[in-house]
Amino acid sequence: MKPTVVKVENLVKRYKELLAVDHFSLNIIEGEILGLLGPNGSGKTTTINCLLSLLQYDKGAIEIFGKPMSPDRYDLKQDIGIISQNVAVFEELTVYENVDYFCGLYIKDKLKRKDLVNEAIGFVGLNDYLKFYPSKLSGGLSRRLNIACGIAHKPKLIIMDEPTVAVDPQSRNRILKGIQTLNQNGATIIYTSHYMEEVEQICSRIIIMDKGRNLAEGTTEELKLMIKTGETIRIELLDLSKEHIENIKMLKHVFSVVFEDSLLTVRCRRGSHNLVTLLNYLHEHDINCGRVFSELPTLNDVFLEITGKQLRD
Amino acid sequence: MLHSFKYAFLCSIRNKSQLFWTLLFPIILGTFFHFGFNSIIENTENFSQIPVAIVTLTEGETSETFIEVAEQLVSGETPLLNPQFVDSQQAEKLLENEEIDGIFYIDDSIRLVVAEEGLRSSILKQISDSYLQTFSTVAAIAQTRPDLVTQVIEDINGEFQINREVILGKGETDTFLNYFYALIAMQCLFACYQGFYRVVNIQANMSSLAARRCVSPVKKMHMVLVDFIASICTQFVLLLIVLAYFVFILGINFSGQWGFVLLTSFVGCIVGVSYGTFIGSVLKSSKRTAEGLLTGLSLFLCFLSGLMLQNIKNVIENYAPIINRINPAALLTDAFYSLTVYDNYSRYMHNIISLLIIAAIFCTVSILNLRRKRYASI
Amino acid sequence: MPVFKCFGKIVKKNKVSFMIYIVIFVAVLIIFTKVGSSNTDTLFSDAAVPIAIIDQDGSALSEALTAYIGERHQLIDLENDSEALQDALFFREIEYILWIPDRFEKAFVSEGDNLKLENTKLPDSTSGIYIDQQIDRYLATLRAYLNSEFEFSDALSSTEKDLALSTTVELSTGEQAEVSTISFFFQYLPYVLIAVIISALGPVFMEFNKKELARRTEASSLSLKSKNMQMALGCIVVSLILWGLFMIAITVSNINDIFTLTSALRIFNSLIFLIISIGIAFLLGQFLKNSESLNFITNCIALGMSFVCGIFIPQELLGSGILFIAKFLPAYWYIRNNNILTGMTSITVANIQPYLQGILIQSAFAVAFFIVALVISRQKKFHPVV
Repeated sequence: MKPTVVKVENLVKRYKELLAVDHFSLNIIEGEILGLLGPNGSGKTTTINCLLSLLQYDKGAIEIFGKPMSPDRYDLKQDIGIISQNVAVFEELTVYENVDYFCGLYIKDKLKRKDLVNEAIGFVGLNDYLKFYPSKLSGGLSRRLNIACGIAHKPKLIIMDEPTVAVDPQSRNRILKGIQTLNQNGATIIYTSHYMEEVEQICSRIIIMDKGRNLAEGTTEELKLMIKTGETIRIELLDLSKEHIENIKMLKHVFSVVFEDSLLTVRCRRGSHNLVTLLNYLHEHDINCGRVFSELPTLNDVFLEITGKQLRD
Repeated sequence: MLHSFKYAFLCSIRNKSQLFWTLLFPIILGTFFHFGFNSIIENTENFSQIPVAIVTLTEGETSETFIEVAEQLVSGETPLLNPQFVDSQQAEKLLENEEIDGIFYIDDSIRLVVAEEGLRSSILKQISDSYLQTFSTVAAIAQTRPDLVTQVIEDINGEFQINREVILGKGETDTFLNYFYALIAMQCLFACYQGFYRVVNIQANMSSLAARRCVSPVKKMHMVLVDFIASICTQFVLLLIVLAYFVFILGINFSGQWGFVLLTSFVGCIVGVSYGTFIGSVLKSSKRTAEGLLTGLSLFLCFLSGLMLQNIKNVIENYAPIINRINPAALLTDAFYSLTVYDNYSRYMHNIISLLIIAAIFCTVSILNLRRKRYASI
Repeated sequence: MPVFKCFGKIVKKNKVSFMIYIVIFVAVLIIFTKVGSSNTDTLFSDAAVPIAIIDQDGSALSEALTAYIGERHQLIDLENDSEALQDALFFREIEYILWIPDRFEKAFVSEGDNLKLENTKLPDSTSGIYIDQQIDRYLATLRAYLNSEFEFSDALSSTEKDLALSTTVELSTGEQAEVSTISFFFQYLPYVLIAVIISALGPVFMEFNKKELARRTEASSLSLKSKNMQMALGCIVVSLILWGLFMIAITVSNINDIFTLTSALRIFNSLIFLIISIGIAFLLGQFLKNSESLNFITNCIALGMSFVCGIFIPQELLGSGILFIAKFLPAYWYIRNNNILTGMTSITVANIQPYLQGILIQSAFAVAFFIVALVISRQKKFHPVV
């Protein structure tokens, strides 16, 4: 049984009237990549900041590596790396100097540090930019620098807060691959985002957050099983009468039918042959259709069902 | 420790806008002072040929002798007056058109009318006062010893070296040296930006960079201390460059007690950085507000120490002396002044100790605020 | 009028920082005006000065000399202690110290030892030189009487009588009593105006000129002309409000003396300078990127111009070299106009010419700033640096 790296129990954080984190709990096992998924303002960053003992919180217990976390636990901090939403580097230091500085806060041995710094810079692919200042780097490259600064000292726990915001696709892929490599090398990772595709791609387990609460937890598959929607079918149609809409609603597994702007959207529960059944019905009633789309549920659907909101507004 | 210090120093010294403020600006301003003041001294020595009208209201001994004296003042190597002998109406017109600085009306006595108070009108008054007094003396003496009259006139108006200036303490300062002291004090105070930006980068609720540093296994106070020392060192290095420029290129003479001048400057840097740190640790508002406050407050303190208006310290001494005792800029300028004027160091040490106490207060309050490790909101 | 509204919003957002400036600079202006105007610019002032006299002779002569000085100045009683005297001097309790040595009278009368008086004065006390002259005059007159074989006591009293004579001085017109506070206020105003206007408007121009924002505005359906008109309106409104505050301040504090033609001309002069300040803010906003740089440049310009152009140091005391450079700066012409108005006893078509010339030159500066700024903004538009 792998040890628990992070344990949060009943965390509560209030900002005056607003309840930012509402009795939130989580458990992270060593070697996991845990995704914290939620829209803007759901409390992800607040939770992270409480976890790192940067924020005062009102109630709850936080343990890292099995020990209670507080600002004085320098032993625990030694093995944590943080990559924040904003690029947190010194404008006045070059790429190399920045990575060296932050690594030096953790690693005192000069020779060892030199190797680690070079490795980190190579890992993010900034070898050609050693002497550049952050202001001269593009968005994607600055994010890569941000990451290098956070992981140079090879931490056991890495916390990444929306690291791919406003990043070009090439850099983003590189970053995601890099995260997987880090995980393969033994790091436990907490990854917060509102991009469900990324979370689905790399996280072994996902927690869906909204309004500071833990709404659902599990692997991608487990989460998708939690909701009604098994399949969503969209068909382009010129016209459809009310009678037909009612009939389609009666079909097996169908629980929602919407016809708007020449598009028929039918949501079905899990089951086989939903698409075939629907197409047969249309064919029998001589209703001509255009393009046909069938989608399996996404995390957005999960989120939508649980909260009634979209993940990205 | 050295690792952190190295990078803190690099950050400080590479900050371009701060470099401008604390290095180029004093150099530029000092250069202006230097050229400006040299010319003031030239100009004040040079008063010659004051245009004036002499109107004789009543002919008599007074008028004759006065006119003679006036004519004497016209001739000679440095003619003091440029008189015109006109009637009353013409004289008034000349005064109105600013072609003359004053009118002497002579009957039994002398009356002087001027358009405005100023240096020239004072000189005119002196001339006529001197005339009246000499005339009286000569008249009194002429009654008993008429043969001595010429001698008397010569004696009274000649050079009379009976009052010798001595230097109390050590030395006479060049009046305008005070401006340079004020400029150095200003540079020390502007070290506040260094202090402020270092705090921004360590307070987790002010920047992400600070949050990252706070999550590292290095004690926060350690980082604060290293940043503080690095800022002071940077500031001191910049100050040395400015001092070197003043002394070697502009040729300003700072009394030669280099040890104490450097000590004063160093203490000034400490005060500047600690006051910036204090503002950074106490102020919760945006960066722009803080910058406005730092600039405005520093300029105000420098203004009160005589940077723009020379005798303001005298005025403050008369109305609210406590300000001169706690204004760091005033304390710095006083320290420099005491070095050059007084022969013992008690006044000087008093200033230095006051400065250190001020710095200590700022530092203490800052530490108390910065010690906070968790924030209510980020 | 979206641009205009946005202008207002940005100004409001930054209001705390430039309010701090306003408060501090208004305080500075008030102090300047009060202290500056009570500072007569006579270098030889016959104002009474605090003096300490250490009389080690105690003779008739020393007492008479002390009395002579005492009638004209303020005598402060102090011990002959070097530290105490240095302190008193340092803290401006006294501005002049005179030592009358032992046996001075004897030496003076016999013309023997050539025993000298000693004095120390404050280096920046110009009346000190005048006091020297007064003392010299007294003793020279006394010596003249003694050499003419007057009795000692007669010589003393005659000297006193002679030196009591003085010329009556009058000022030619009452206009001069035009409160010097007003003229000093307007003398120091440009320093404050530049600092406040640039710190209020600079950030707005900077925001609008930010690459992305500028492009977005360009791409909108708002015509360039409309945008510029709205910006101009925003500037005018904000600056007039700020300038208006200052004008109200000076009017209220000098309510009896402000309604003169001279003051009106001063106000007009300051209005022109206001436009120049806007022009400078506009120009700086074209190429400055962050508030730090703006801050520094503002103060550099404000302080630099103030020293060189005659705001802190009167123009008549600056050397020809500095004045030559100053002529290329707008503040020089503003101050020159202000000085012309101070010197004017009455205003005629003839003597107003130099003032009008100054107004024209300042206007030219304003126009120049705007043109350069517009050229730069067009450059950036057509040749953007990506």
